[in-house]
Amino acid sequence: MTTTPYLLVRLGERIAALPAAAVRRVVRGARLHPLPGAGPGLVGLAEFAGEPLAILDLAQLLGLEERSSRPAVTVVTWLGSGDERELVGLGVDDAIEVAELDASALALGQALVGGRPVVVVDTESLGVEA
Amino acid sequence: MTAGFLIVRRAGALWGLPAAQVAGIERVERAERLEGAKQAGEDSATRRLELRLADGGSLAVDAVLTLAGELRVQPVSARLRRFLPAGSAGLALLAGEPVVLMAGKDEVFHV
Amino acid sequence: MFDRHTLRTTMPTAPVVLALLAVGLVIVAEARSGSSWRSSAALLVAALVGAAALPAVRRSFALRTAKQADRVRLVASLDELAAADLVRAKAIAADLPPALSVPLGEALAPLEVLASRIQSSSVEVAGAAGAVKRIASELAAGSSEQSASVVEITAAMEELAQTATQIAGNAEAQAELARLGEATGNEGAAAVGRAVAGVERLRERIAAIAKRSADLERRAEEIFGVLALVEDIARETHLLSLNAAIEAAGEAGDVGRRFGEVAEEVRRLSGRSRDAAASVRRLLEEFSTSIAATVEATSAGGREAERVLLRVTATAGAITGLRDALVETAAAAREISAGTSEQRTASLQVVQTLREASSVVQQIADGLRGFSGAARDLEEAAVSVQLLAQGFRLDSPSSLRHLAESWATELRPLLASPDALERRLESLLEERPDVELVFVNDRRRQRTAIVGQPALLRLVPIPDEIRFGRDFSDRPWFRAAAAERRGIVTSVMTSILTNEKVVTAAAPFFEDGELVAVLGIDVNLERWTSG
Repeated sequence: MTTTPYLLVRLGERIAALPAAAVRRVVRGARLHPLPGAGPGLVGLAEFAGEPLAILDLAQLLGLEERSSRPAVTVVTWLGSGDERELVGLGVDDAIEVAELDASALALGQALVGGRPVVVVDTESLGVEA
Repeated sequence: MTAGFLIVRRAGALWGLPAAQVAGIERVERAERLEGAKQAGEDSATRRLELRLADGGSLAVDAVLTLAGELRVQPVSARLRRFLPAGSAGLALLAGEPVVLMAGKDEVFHV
Repeated sequence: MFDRHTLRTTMPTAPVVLALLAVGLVIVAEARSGSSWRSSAALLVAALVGAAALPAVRRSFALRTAKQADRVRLVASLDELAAADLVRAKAIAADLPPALSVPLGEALAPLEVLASRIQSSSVEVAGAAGAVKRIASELAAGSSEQSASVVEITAAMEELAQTATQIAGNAEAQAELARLGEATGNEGAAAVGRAVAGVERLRERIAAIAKRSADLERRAEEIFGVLALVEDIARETHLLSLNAAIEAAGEAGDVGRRFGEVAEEVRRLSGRSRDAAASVRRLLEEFSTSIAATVEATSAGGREAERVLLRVTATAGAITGLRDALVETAAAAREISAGTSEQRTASLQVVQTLREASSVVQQIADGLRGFSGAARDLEEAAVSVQLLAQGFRLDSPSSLRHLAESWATELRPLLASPDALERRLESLLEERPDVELVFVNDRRRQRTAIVGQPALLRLVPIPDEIRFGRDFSDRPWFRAAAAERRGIVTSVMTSILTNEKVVTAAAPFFEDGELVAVLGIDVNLERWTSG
C-alpha cells in the first residue's frame, strides 16, 4: 500500500487535505490587502517571496459553509500542473499536520484520518470552473 | 505588458492604469457610490483627484502614487481571472504592496 | 528586559532550515512521559528551545563538518534542554567550540530569564495567596468573638434598662441602682472598648488584604503576558515543523523520511506545549477570578467594618453617658422621677444602638466566612501555578529541582560513611527551615539515612526500623527520580509529621548506569512560600 503525504488543514469544523508536494509554504500573519470588488472567493492580495500572491478562501472554493472570520493561516500552494502551474495562497483557519494518506485518496476525494472524514483537495483542478 | 503604468490608490487598494490611457489629472471633490464594498461605511467616498482618460471618460481616485516605468508583471491566469475584478490583467508589486494592473481601454472600473 | 521584539528577531523568518533543523531537533524530539504538569513544562521549554536554538544551529553551518565529539555534546546539551534542565544544558554547551557555544548560550540566556521570572513570580504569588488565606481565617474567627461580646453587652444593658424602669420612687433602690449602673457601666465601657479595638484591627487587616490582592492581580497579569509570549512561540514552532515536514515530503529517500520524522516530533512537542500553556492559562484564569472575588469581599468587608466602628464608638459614648447619668441620679435623690425617666430613655437608646451594632458585626462574620472560601481557592490555584513552574531546573533558590540535584552532588561522596552522611544531612537541614525531612535511601547498602527538623521529631519520632532494610522503591518520589534519572518534584501530598501540605524534591544516584540511591527532600509548602 503506497501512501502520499498530505497537509491537513482546518476549515471551521471540517478538515481538508492538500497534497504536500503541491504546498510551497505555510505562513501565518501574512499582510493581507483586501480588494474591494473582487469575487467572494478572494480574501485579498499579499506579497510572497518578492512576488504578488492572490489569496483565495479554500472553504469557499470547496463549497463548504461560510465562516465569519477571516482565515488566519495561508497555505502557499501550486495550483494547476505543468506549464500552467501557478502559486496561489489558500486561506485556512489552521494548519494541523502532515499525514500519509493512501494513494487512492485523491481519486476518491475523501479519506478517513483518525476516524474523521477529510476532504481531499485536487490542487490541479482547484479554482477552475467545471 | 511592461510599458509605463500610472499607479493610483482607490478604495484602499493599488491599481495600475496604462499611462497611455490617462490624459490628465485634476483636483476635485466628488462623492461617489461604491459597488461591491465589503465593509459597512465604505459605500460612499469622497475622492479628491480625477483622472481624465484618453477615451473621454474620467475616473476618481484617492491618490496618485507614481508613474512606474518598468514593472514586473504577473499575468492574471484564467483561474484567477474569476476572482479578480473584471478587467484585471496582471498583478505586480510596488514597494512590497500588491498592485492590480488593469488592461487597456474600454475596461470599466467596478469599484 | 526580555521583550517580545527580542524574541521575534531570533525567530527565523527565512524558509525552513533543513539539515540544521534535523540535527538540532532530532534530540529535542524525544518526548518524555511522566506527571502531566512536569512534562508539559519540560516540553514547553523544549518547544521554546526548538525555536530559539535554531539560529544558533543555523549560524554554524559548519555543523555538517563539525567534529563527532562536538555533535555528541550538542546532542547532550539539547537533551538536557528537552528535560527542562537549563543548568546542565548550559554546562555542557560551554564546552562546545565558540561557533556553537556562543549562539547556543545566547539562545539559552533569555530562556533562563523567562523561566526564572516565572518561578520566582509564582512563589511570590503563592506566598501572598497563603497570607490572604490566613488573614481571612483570623478575621472570620475574630469577628465572631466581637459579635459574641457585643451580644453580651446588649443583654446586660437590656437588663439594666428593665431594672431602671421597675425601681422608681425608692431612694434605697436608687442608690443600689446607681451602684449597679456604675459597675455595669464600667464593665460595659471596658467591653465596648475591647470591641472598638477589635474592629479597628479588623479594618486594618482588611486594608492589608486589599493591598495584597492588588499585588496578586499585577503578578497574574505579568504571568499572562509571559504566557501569551510562550503561546506565540508554540505557534511559530508548530508552523516551522509543518514547513519542515512539507519540505521533507519533497525530498526523496532516506533523508526526506528522517526530516519528516523530526518535523513530526517537533510538531507534537509544540502541540503539547500549546496544551501546557492552555492549562497554565486556565489556572491563571481561575486564579484571577479568585482575586476578583477577594477584592470584592475586601471592599464590602471594609465598608462594613467602617460602619460597625462608627456604631460601636457611638455605643461607647452612650454607655459613658448612661453611667454619668446614673451617678448624678444617686447624688440628687429628690429629682428621682425626672431622673428615672431620663435614665430609661438613655438606656433604651443604648440598647437600640447595641442591637444594631450586634447585627452588623454578625453580618460581617457571615460575609467573612464566604471570603475565607474564596481565599482558599485562591491559594490552591496559586500553589498549582507554583508547582507547574517547578518543572524547570534553574540555578536559583526558587528551583526545587536544583536543590535536590545540588544536595545530591554534595552528598554523593558520603554515601559510603553513614555517620558523616547523617551529620551532613543535619547541617543541610539547618540551612532550610522549610524542609521537614531529608533522607537518602541507599539501595545497595540497604540503609536509609534520615534526618528531620528537631522541633517536628519531638512530636513524631522516626522509628529505627525505617533506617534498616526498608524498601522505598514503590514511593512516588523514588519511582519518579528513578524513571526520569534526574532531579524531580512530586505533586502535593500531606506530611505525616505536620499534617500540612508538602512536596518531595528527589534526585537519583547512579553508578555505572545502575541506580544505587535516591535522595528525598520533603518541603513544607507553606513555609517554603512564606519564607
